[in-house]
Amino acid sequence: MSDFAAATNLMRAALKRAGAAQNGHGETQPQAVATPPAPTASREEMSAHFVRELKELGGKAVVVDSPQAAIDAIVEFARVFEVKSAAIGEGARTDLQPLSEALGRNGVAVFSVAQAPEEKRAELRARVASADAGVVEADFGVAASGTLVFVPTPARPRSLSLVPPVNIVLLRTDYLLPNLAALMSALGVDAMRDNPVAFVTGPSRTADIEKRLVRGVHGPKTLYAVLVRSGRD
Amino acid sequence: MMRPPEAESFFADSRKAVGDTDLRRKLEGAVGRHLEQVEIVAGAFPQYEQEKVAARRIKEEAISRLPELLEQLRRNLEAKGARVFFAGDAAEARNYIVDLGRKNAVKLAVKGKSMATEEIELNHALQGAGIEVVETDLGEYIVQLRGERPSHIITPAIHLSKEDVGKLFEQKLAAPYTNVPEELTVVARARLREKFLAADMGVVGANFAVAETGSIVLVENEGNGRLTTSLPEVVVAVMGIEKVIPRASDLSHFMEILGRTATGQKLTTYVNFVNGVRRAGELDGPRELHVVILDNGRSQMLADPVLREALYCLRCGACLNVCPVFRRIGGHAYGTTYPGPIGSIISPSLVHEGQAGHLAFASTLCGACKDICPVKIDIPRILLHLRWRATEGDIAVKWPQAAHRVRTGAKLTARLFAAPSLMRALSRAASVLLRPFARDGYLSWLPPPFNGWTQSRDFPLFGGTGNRVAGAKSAPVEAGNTGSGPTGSRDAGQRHDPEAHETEQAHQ
Repeated sequence: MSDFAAATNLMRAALKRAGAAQNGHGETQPQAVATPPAPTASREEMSAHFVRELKELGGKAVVVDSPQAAIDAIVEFARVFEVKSAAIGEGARTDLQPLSEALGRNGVAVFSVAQAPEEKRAELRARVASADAGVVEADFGVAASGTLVFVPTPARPRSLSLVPPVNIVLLRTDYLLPNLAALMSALGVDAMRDNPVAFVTGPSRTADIEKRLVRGVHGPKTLYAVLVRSGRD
Repeated sequence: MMRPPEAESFFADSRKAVGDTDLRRKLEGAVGRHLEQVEIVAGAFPQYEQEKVAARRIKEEAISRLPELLEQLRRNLEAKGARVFFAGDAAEARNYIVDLGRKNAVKLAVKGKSMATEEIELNHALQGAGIEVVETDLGEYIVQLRGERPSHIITPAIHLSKEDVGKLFEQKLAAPYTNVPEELTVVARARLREKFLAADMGVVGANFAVAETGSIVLVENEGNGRLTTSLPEVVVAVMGIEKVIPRASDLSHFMEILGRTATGQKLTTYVNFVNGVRRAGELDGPRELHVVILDNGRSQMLADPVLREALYCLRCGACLNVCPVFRRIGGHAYGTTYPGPIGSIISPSLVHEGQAGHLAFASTLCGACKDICPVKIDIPRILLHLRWRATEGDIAVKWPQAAHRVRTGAKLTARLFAAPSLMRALSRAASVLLRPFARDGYLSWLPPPFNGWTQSRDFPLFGGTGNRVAGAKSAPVEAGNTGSGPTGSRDAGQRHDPEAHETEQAHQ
């Protein structure tokens, strides 16, 4: 086994041997990189852009006015896409209990995966693996690319947006950001240190056969985002 | 095991590949679709150039601060319960992971796409220890079923048609034959889902490792990387030392360029942070997380001020797609883990030390790779540097007469150039003597030692006007869907007329 400290010391020596910036070719002193300023887009413009991007990627998206309208849209989606069972966790920003109950009343077997004690993990994982859909709230959205950002915790584990073939996602429009640079500051270093964060841009896809696009390889094949307008300004 | 790349086998394999019109048609089709998409997506992003510069600067900083960043990365990984192992070479990395499998009684390991694990030939070692290994990236799964190596960094099965894949699945998976990519993908998804749910170990690479947060970041489209790091109890990430970046916020710059050049997407479908082990009450995530930091020749590249730039590579694969050599011979002929222009500059240090030096000569130096590189690596400059090192005997090229020939040739040429009257007289004599053998002002055959030239192209007659368009020897394959080149590329290979391309190469 190589010793880590010895290895990094060898690297130091190698760097010193090569000398800093001696190749006269673009090597620069370390410097902070300025992030481009966020375009000043209104929330409505960002929502519209997000929807357009996600649809272009083969996802489905809709903007609604209230939490109740979001529940109605999701219940209707579950009916049309024959979602019979769904895994759900706690919301990132919203109480998902009313949604869970509404789905239950409409014939969807909803079960919660928030908090999975070690002795119940195997059973819960098997249920998630056979569920038709995962229901989860995104922490943020990025308008420029139609990206959903998840900060999974034990209360809303990552499997929800990963394992079932259908992923239903709630997103409050006041957590929409114009671009990735803005996302980085909103998300913050702590979230990126402590959680299995995922940026999800559209349904799972591949182009491994002749560079021809196919959707739904290992992750969800169907992605439905419901953007909820919020009173917060 | 892979045989070491040698000049003689490279000549034989690349000659064979050039004659394989079927392979060339598949390559041109896939590469054309890729470049077309890249041009559309990158062209529609006004900040593209600015983000490339930003990403380049971050890589420059990261490589110049490598030792301290790796130390910081290790501290932050360990603080989150991960275990860090530094592997000086491929064998150390392999042995560590095989041991890990044995200790945890692993029967089945699933793998995300990772060039680093190809580099250390991990699958072989795990299988030797009785562990079943399944590649889960669709392209990697396909080449694994065929018992092949990937022929491209990001599109491993680029050398195969949908019909090839249909036949493969029929034979190996007893699936009914189809040539529809959607249906083939459904077959693979069902097979691999079973494997994901049963696997005890997940092995992935790393696109980035953030020193500030101790995060391994995976960028992928299929969701297999996310499943591989979320479902198995033991997860191992293998990363080259050069994957470390200073800050989490740096990621946005890489994200803005990587999808655009690698696959022509605004953003790759999944950007996953692997952050430590499963927390109390959490449904998913590994019980054990191991990070193997691999040197395997990289720190030697650090010591070479020219070659060091190759460590900025993001493994996006774009330089392969624009390379006129790659597009004619495909990935397998290179005989290395990393094919194409980037492979030719890193293989001599990384994979088979001192045995891939001849690949630096397998380039026209047209510069298309440099133009498309998202971190602006000056690949032609490094190729020239490696040629120089090879002729100086710095790299033990397994082709010693090459260095000798180049040197002797250069000396003779220098003498000729120093004596213009002698040169004129010689070329006039050659012109007269050779005229009877020429056709349309070109010679199809020259005696040794000049036959190297006429093996691949015709030689213009000395003093002749040579009004033929090109010296290309064989009729080029139908260009078909060649696609158009990236913005501003000066790669002649992008043109629809391959004849014109040959001319440009020949005159360089």
